[in-house]
Amino acid sequence: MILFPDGITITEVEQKCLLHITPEPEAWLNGVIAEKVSLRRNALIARWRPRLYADESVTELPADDEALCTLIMARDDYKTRLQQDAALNPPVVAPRHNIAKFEAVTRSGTTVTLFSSGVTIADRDSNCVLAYVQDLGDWIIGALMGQINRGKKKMIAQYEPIIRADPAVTTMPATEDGLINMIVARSDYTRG
Amino acid sequence: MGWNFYNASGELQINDGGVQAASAVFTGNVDLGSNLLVGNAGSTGIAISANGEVTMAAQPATLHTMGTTVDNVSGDGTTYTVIFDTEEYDQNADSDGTTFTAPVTGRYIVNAQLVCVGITAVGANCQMIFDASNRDFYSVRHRWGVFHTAEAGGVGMSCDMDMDANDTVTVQLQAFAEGSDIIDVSGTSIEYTYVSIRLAV
Repeated sequence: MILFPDGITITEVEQKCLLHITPEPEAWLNGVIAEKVSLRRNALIARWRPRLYADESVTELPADDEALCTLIMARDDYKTRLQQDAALNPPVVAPRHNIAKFEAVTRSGTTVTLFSSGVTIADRDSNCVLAYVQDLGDWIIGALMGQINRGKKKMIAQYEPIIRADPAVTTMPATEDGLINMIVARSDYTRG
Repeated sequence: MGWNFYNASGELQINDGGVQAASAVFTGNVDLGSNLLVGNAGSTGIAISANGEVTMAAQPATLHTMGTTVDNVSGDGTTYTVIFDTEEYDQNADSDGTTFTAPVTGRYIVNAQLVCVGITAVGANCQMIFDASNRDFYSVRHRWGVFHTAEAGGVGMSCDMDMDANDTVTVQLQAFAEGSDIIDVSGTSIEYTYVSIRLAV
């Protein structure tokens, strides 16, 4: 599965926020996805193991986690999160609110593209996440936006008092973007 | 391998072959006469005061409220994702007022209350949703007429939820049976509408 085949485009300011707490954003996001896959694989197995034990038609189980997940997902009574939600009355539609919020921002001026060839995830891995998560792309954007927001808030919390105490500074930008550019341009700025 | 317990200033210092030990094991009680500060990349992670109060300045914990009413967000079943416009605190910079993003995998406590106004006589009920990455949590549908006046009502919910690192959660409102989206989420100087989230374990 390749998500965002054209990459994920963020503004230069968003990149500065991200870099404040994430030295290598793409490596970070790959690691975040790998952790999510691992956690959901373990959760899926933990949820299904009692049901498999209780099923008399199941005579043996693979010892390998991936093979066990494949067996679970091949069962007639297995549904992905999306399939579970669609079966509800009324059906729950995947909101994709992270992508909606991300796309609601106009990114003009200088931008940076992450994962210019897309985010590649093996099907066996994405399927583990999709057992619980409605939309993997929406989850990835949520993770990325959360990290950008965290970097922005931590940067401002750290440097705004320093700027206010700096006698050389007489005025400050009235926007967050302006403040972030000012912070990163300072000689005493270091990433968190 | 040599062990030094005190440096030249009389402060406790544990060295292991010239390198500060990565860990220390105490087989009995540790009784500190004053504060304990456990550093966390330069800032305090856990502090235990001389009186025994434990604080964690960087522990994920947020409180957001609503200072200004948002008009006409639901009423005929529309799902509204609540934008809390006032940040009271956000200890680890995990929330933007709408979306909380878990910084680490753990169990999180989520509390929220929404006060709605503009309800008409036909308005029947509402529910709150915690829309989290791994699962959604729904409140029981709350009938306006039973507990509230015909104009104002509310719904609250609290739960523990498992969140993986970088999972998100938002608070949503669905109001039903009005002819259109005429229900407002109330924001005032009194904290009727709020959400708080913190890492429990």
